[in-house]
Amino acid sequence: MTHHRSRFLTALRMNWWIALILLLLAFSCLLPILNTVAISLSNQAYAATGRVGLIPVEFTLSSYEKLMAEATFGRAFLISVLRVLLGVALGMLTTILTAYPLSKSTRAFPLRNAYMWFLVFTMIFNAGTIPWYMQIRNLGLLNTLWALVLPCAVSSYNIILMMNFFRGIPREIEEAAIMDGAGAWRVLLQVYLPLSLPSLATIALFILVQHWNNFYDGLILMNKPSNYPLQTYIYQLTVRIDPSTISDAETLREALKVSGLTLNASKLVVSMVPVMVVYPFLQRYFVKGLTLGAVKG
Amino acid sequence: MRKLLCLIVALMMMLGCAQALAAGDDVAFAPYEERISMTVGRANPGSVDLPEDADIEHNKYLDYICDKLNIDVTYDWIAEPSTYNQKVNLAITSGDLPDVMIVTNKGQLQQLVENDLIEDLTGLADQYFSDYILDIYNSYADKGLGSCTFDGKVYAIPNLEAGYSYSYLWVRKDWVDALGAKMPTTLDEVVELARLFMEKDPGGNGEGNTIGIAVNTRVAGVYNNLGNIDPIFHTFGSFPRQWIRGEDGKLTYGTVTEETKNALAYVAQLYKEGVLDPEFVVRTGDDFNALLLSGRCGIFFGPWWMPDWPLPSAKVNNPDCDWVPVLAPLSDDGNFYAYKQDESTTWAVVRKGYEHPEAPFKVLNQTYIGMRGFDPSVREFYPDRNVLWTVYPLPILLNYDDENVQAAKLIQAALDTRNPEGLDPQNTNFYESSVKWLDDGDIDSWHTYTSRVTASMLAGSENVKFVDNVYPARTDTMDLKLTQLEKIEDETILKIIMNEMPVDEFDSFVTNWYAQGGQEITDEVNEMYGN
Repeated sequence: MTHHRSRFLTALRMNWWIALILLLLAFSCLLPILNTVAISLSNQAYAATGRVGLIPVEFTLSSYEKLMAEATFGRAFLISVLRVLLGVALGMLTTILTAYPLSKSTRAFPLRNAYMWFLVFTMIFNAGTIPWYMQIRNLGLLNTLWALVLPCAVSSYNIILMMNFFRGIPREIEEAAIMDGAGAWRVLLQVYLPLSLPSLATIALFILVQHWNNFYDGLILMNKPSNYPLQTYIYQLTVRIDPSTISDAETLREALKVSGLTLNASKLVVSMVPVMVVYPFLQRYFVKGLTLGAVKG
Repeated sequence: MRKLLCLIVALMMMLGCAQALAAGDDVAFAPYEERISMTVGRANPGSVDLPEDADIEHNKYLDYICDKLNIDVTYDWIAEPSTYNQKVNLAITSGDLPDVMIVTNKGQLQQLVENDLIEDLTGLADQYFSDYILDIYNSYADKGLGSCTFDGKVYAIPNLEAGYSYSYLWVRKDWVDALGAKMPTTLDEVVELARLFMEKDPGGNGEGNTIGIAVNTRVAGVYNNLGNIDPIFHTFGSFPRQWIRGEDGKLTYGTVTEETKNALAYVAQLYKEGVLDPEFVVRTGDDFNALLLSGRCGIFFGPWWMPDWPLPSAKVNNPDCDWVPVLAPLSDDGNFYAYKQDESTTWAVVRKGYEHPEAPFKVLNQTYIGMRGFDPSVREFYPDRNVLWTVYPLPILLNYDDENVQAAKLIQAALDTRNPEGLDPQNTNFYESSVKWLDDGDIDSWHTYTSRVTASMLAGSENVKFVDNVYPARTDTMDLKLTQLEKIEDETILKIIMNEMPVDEFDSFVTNWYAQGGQEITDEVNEMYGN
């Protein structure tokens, strides 16, 4: 580790101007995020006039207060956490168990191609919103947590990704395990999975982000705002300024503290947070070259 | 004996009539003897400012309806406005309708009628509406229930939107005063003032940074909209995107007229000179607002409620900033021409087979008692809060056409004598805010006085003349071809204004428009209105 660091420092000293340019570029990626955070923390009157840069003008937490004001927020948060936990667990299970057999050749798994086409078919053809809704309604899933989890439990895209990774693992490793008396389950659980940590982490992250960010299924499949997951709840939160009802200064002052601009910014920040929190924990699995040198000759 | 019988029958009939006559409000507010249930499908009103322990499905307003009428309202579904039409489609195709459903699309209303999915409500309005509500409907004459009358039968309860929300001029009066200019009335004077603002830069934006006239990307023809330059078009007798009835009674689409060509030629010239915001096509709504709020622009067009939104931020940003409404530009005859609103855009429909088709009428009667302040106990439900009226189960807004103008006159009269006696509760609020602004200079109350009194009175000026325009239901050809037609319409308007297309090509656009389905649509619309 120290060896790496000193080499990095030497390189930095030698090419300081390259480092500077790269740092500036990296920083420029951060600017829009900082700007969004600043807007979300500003008084909307200043945000609306376009005066907020990287530092909040007239600091206020009102847009976050608005975001969390109603009892629905807590419930929606809980639903989202549950759906992510269930969704990731179920998604990983189906992905691994489908991808592993599909990664075998047709000799080992004669119907492999038929199954493969079956999967690919669902990626290309899609029945549309109304049949999807009717199907879920007929299954009695409307208004339940399962409506958010079951319909997207099998992702063809993730399965193909995982399958290709499994295929990249040298056959010899598997053969060695079989020689040592391992069965199919043991090969999968104790050989393949430990070697696939980086892609497992990637796919877990995909599923997590997908479940966390999806607001549309909540919008269509949940009939009551009290059943919304967090993103759907956040999505429907808009400041509706109705000129026919604003009569007193108090309401207006409240409405003026938050507006579409600041509220939208705080929505963005809230949706970014969980992924930013989870990412560092997953990062230690993003290790390359675990199988490097595992097979000789 | 027979005579006696006749007499008795006659007496009974008279008694019956007397009862029916006296009924009126008794029937309207009579509770059901046994509790009935009513399921509702509606849009989510979002945050209505209820306290923590209440939500849209459980609150004292629903209890109120239940206590007064013995109707237990529950929601089958509450959908988001952004996907509302889709949700109604899903309800229609799956055949799973709530007892009462809100529809916000006229095509869907037609579909429900054609497929015989909703109850015929003919006559129920007269029978069950309270006198208060009936009076509002009657004030619109045939238009009251016209939007949902098919073959002489009434199929829904429509909302009625107040009028007078057309656009007129808004000017920075503090800039006009600082430059010693005068308030404009004609189109030439408006443009002259815009040039003066750009040249003299009273806002201190720096050379060339002041925008003459702000305009949004839709340019014209959207009612009740901030940033259209409709009034400029109207001085040429042009009403883009609206169906206008001519002197011969025939309806014509306002975009494809000679008048619109002339107006476009004029606006294109303004754009060329830089008087019209040179970057208007790339500005989002937020960018547009920022121009007005940050003091980069001193002229735009909008309806009476501008001071309520977005202008208060301008006042926060710069307390000296003084946006005022002006009834300009006037046409050569001294009149200000405008078109009228689409009165009904939301309908409550009753599922075919619901046992109590009159129940929604009663719910609305009670709703208006509560929301218009006739029952003071309602204000004690959540005393510290300003709960929005959309919390009531059937959000059907009913207003008199000139409601805002009349209210403004009443408030102004009360202000003249500083005596709010006789004002209804809502107007009393406006009165009190106006006094705060006029007497104490309370900046947070500026907007109420300006929108509710100054701007609303102005909107009702005598020299405002409305053209005869209609909002036709979607026709078959519209379903097939309207998207394409609107695309070439939008493109042509923008390209001509931006000088990317010579004005003379407008004629070939008109030919094209008629050839690609416009003619059929025009015929269908004329047929719809009996031509």
